[in-house]
Amino acid sequence: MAMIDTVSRSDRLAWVSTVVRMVLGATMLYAGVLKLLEPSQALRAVQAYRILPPAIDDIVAYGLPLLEMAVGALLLLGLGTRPAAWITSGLMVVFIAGVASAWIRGLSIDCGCFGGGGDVAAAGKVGRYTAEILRDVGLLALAGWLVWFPVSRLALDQVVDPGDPSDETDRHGDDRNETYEESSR
Amino acid sequence: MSNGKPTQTRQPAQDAKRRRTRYIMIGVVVAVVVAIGISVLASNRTTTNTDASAPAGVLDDLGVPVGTATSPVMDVYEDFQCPVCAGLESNVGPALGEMVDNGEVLLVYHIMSFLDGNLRNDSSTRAANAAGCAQDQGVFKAYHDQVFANQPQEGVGFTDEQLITFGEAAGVSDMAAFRVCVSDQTYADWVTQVERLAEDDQVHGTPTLVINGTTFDPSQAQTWDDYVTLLTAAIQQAG
Repeated sequence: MAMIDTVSRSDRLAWVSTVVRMVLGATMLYAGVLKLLEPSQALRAVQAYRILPPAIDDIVAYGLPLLEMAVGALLLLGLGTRPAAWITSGLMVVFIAGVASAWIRGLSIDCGCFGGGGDVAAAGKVGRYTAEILRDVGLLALAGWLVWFPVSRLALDQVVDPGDPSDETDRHGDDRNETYEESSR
Repeated sequence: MSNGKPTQTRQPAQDAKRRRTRYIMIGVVVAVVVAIGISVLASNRTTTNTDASAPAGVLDDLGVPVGTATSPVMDVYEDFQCPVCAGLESNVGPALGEMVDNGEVLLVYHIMSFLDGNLRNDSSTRAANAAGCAQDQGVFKAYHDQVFANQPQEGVGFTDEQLITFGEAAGVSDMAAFRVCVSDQTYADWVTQVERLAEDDQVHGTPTLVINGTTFDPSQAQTWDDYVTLLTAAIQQAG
C-alpha cells in the first residue's frame, strides 16, 4: 500500500513539474523573443536602470534575450531541466534586485521584462513595481520547484538520460528506487 | 523513472554516454536558438542602418534646427506622447521661444519615438513623421507646438486625421502633399534613425535638454518657474 502511494505521489510530482516547466519555459521564450525583436527598445530598457556602464548595457541588451530564449527552449523541451531552472532562478533574483533598486533610487521606469522599457511617467509607479516584483517572485517559485523536482513527463531528459542521478530529488530520500522496485516486480 | 523502466543497475560507462548525449543535445539547442537570435538581430540592424531620407533642412545629426543663432546650441529631445514634454512646452516654451527670437540660442529638435514601445501604439512615430512633413513646408516649430498643445491623455495616441488637422492649424500651405506625407509615413526611416542616434548619445528619457553638449540638470527646480530661471541662466552662461 505504501509502495503504491509513493508511485502515485512521484507520478503526480512529475506531472506538476511538467506543467511548471511548460509555463516557465513559454514565459522565458516569450520574454526573450519580444526583447530580441526590438533591440533598441531593449537597450533603452537596460540603460534606464542606470546600473551598468554603457559598454555592458549593450551586451546585456543583446545577450539577455538570447539567454532567455535558450533557457526557455530548454525548459519547453525538458532538456537540462535542472540547470535551466537554476539559471532561471538566478535571472529572477537579478530582475527582482534590479526593479527593487530602481524603485529605491526613485526612478520611474518600465522594467522592460516583456519588451518595452525605459523611463515612464511616475503615475502608478508603486502598483507597477509591486506587480513586476510579485510576478518575478512567482516565476522564481516556479523555477525553484523545478530545481527541487526536475523530473517531469514529456521531457527529452527522460528520453535521453532517464534516471540520471543529477536529477534526483534528495530532500525526500530517493523515492525513485522504490519506484523501480515497484515497477520491476 | 516511475514510468516503468527498471534502471537501478546503471553502468558507469552507460551513464557517461547518456550524459554526454544529453550535454550535446543541450549544446545543439542553445546553439540553434542563439544562431536564430543573432540572425534576427543582424537583419534588424541592416534595416535600421540604411540612410534615411530626411526632411528638408535638417542638420547632419538629423535634428531639426529652429532659430537663427549659431551658438549656443541646445539639443531638445522630446517624444510627442511624453506628458512631461507637453508640460515643458507649455511652461518653458514661451520663454525659450523668446530667446530663439532674440537670437540667443539655436534649438535643435530630436523627436524621439520610444514611448510607442511603452504605450503599445505607434503614435509617437506617426506624429514625429508628420513633424518631418511639416518641416518640409517650413512650419516644423508651429506644428510641434500644435501637437503638444493637443496632446491626448497618455496612451490614447493620435489619429492620422488629428495629425493632418494639426498641420492646417500650423499653417501648412500644401495640404495635399502634407496629407500624403502623413499617411504614407514618408519619413518613417528618418524617425527611426533619429531615435537610434539619440540612444547612441545616451539619451534615456524625454524631455532631455543638452546645452553645447552638456545635459541640463533640472533636479534643483521645484517649480516650472524655477526651471525657466535655471534653464535661462544655463543658456546665457553657455552663450
